[in-house]
Amino acid sequence: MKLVQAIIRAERMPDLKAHLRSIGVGGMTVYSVSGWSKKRELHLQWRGQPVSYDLVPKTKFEIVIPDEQLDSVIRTITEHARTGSSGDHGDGIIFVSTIEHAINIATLEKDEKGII
Amino acid sequence: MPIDSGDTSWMLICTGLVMLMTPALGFFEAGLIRGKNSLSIIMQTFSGLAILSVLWFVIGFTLVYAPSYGGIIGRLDWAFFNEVPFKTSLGYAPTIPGVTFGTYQMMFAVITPLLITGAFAERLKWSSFLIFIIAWSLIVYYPLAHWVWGKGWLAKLGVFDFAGGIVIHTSAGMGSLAAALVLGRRRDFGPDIMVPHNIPLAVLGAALLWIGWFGFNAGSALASGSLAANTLLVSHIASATSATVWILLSWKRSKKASTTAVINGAVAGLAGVTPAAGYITAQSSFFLGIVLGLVSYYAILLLKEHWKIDDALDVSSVHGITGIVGSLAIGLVATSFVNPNGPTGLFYGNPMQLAIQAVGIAVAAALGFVGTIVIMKIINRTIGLRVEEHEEDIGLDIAQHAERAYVE
Repeated sequence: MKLVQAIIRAERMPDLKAHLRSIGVGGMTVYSVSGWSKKRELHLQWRGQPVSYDLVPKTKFEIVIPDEQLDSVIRTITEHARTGSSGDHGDGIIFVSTIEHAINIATLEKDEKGII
Repeated sequence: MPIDSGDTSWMLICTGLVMLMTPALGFFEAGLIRGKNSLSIIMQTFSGLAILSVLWFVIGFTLVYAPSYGGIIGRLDWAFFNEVPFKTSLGYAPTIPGVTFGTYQMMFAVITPLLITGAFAERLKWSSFLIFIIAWSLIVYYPLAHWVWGKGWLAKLGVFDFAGGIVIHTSAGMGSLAAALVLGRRRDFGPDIMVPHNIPLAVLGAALLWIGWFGFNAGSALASGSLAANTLLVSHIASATSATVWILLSWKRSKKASTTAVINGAVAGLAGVTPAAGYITAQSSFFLGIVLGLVSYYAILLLKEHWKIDDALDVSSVHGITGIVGSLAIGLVATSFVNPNGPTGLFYGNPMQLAIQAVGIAVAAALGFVGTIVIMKIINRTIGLRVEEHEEDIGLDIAQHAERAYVE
């Protein structure tokens, strides 16, 4: 099993969520986060005065999937979270790690049975 | 008649109450839409308060209320409030200063075009909004208000509208329907985007609208005293009854009584009773409130759920349909027992009033609907109406205003 964590543009989330659901991802945890990276900045204003903030709001989500789903999940994320545009902030990043166990609390099903 | 201090006090307070309704409308709407667009609608209503006040001061008041060119539009005598008296009154309201009448009516001219913000919420460009409200005031509201309230041709025909069911709610309601049709649906229209992001804010807005409406309706008596007193009761009962109907209907449909439903029901009752508030008894208002609650609730099911017209906050139902029903109700249950200067309806022996009201409603609906379509089509051809798709995804707060409502 793999844990896929991704930080993406918040506005790409509804579209991406629908596509991950359609390829059979069984569940998802979503956070609103903010962060900085490289030279990205958030350009807003305060009473007409331009202001730049280094913390840019983003959406982070985590999914746990069977190993064989990894390729299609990565492909879906890169396809639907990418805008290719420059601008205030980037398109984000994906982290993949290995999960030892998963246990469904209600059914006590384990590992891959517990995450689908 | 001399200036009456009691009447003047009441009308100064009512001016404040109706002024408060415009920011209240912004809170109400902002709470019911997604957080990423909440500032944009507050921005539209609050700046509308400023811009449309200026427009009324410069040209609106004189076009609506100055002596008429043949019942079509007012002369320019009172541009910039020139020669509008503050030590004496105008004929419209003989016991209060002329400027108080003009300022009170200013608040109506401000809120009317801004009701349509609920229809085009979450997708209209700020620059297009700005042009729209100015054009809509000049082309729809000022002429219509002159025809009904400024001794224009509809007033001569015998059309009655106590506080704005025809002039305000029918015109803005049908304008909202037109705006939703021209603009098209929001991206991903459906349950996913119908996320009231801050219901307590919406309830606060509804509460302020409700109290503001006392000034809107009872203030339209243009004097303190018995008519204002009855009008306030009539308004409150229609609102409370309509809200109760909505509680029951939402409870029945989703098995849980709904907060967003009860506040919508209250606003629907207030909007619908507006034209009739100064002409009917509280007993009639009780029945009118039931009808208003039912028609507004089922109009939304028809327009939004069945026909999929994306009037984001259902202005066409909550204001338009109710405004039409309330304006027709004058033709049924108005009685000179309540208001000797008002009309008499079918149930009190005057069947003609119903037909006359229908003419007024038809004119307002047609002008509101067609006027909105024409204005929006012209804006669309020139600077465009909608924000870019990615801007709609990001949200209008950041995309159009470089500001955000909330910082996590």
